[in-house]
Amino acid sequence: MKRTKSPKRSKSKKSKRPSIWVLAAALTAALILNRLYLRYRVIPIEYSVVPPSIMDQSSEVESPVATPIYPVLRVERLGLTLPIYPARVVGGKWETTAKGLSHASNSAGLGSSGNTVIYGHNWPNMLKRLPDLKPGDVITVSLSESEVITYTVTYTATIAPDDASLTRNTTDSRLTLYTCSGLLDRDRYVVVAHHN
Amino acid sequence: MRKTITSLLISLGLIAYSYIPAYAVDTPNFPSCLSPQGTLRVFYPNGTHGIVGSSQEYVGSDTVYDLDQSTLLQCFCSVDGTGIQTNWWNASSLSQEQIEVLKKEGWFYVPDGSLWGLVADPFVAKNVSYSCRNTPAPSSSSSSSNGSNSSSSSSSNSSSTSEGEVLGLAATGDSLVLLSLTILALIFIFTGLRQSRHEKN
Repeated sequence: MKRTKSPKRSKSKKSKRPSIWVLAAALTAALILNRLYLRYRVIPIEYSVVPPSIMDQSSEVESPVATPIYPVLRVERLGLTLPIYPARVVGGKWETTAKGLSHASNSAGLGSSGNTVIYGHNWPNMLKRLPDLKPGDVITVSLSESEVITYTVTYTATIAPDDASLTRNTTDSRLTLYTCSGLLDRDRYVVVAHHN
Repeated sequence: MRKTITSLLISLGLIAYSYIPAYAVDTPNFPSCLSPQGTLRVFYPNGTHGIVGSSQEYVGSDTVYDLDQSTLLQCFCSVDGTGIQTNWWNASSLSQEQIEVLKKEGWFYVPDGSLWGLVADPFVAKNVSYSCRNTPAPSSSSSSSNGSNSSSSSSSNSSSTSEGEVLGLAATGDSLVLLSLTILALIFIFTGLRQSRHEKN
């Protein structure tokens, strides 16, 4: 009896083992696919629809007006249109989002004088092509449909991630845009653009 | 079962190891030439200059800042807007092993700094490229050698250190995570295949 039962038990145990690995591989693959999806999906711009009744009564516009909820950064040459979300320091690290770009809370406000620091992932749907920007290229930040700030790229550089000198406040009005670069994202590519 | 645990531990160990940066030598922080700091040591608005580690001659402006007692920042800007930032670090306090590690990381060893207009100490130097078109030049009044005037863009030096400066820049990439996940998935697949082969045998 003992001899006949023990092989069956061991066989049933053994047959379960590969399925655990398949499950683990499938889970890991799902995580990879999720990461890839976040990298390649089209990032939507969220709009709030303002009905004409609460707008100017004398306006002849009949249809509701869509206004972006968050400011939008545009780089025409790269075909980039991305929303900008406010970012804080959480747990000793700067917040990052997959929904768009991040505006460092300690930097100058969008549209105000000083150094406005914006950063984002180096994903294909975000700032992967940032190194393609060259001095003279134009970056715009739309605060609303009518309020658009235009910047012209003046400098570009690759710096170390602990070099925060470019994010310091300045007396002029500039936009500092950066993303990860280099092998395994060990560097930061920075674009500095001045307000026109 | 033992094999399973061992494989899992190896996988986790590999992931954990990939997250640990292996810095053998703690290098000082150097500001960028786009926003230089420190005390202006010398400024040449134009001329032919040498760059450490290169035998070429470079034509353009050259500015050197004293950052602290052991570090200097050299900002060369060529006439076409191509910039080379050289981070200079006095190596007299470094051991030979540390210098060897730094050399592997792209630093150049300069046995005598006096040949480069510095003190007669050994130095290590590293070049970083940057784009310097429209970089504001230091004011002419601050071009005197060993002057106490700071550069035009170092006015922000006086501002208080913000939280962001302490933290550095945000981590905006996840290549390491993707790589780790891929390795992990491959390990799982190979272990599963190996396991099933063993069972068939």
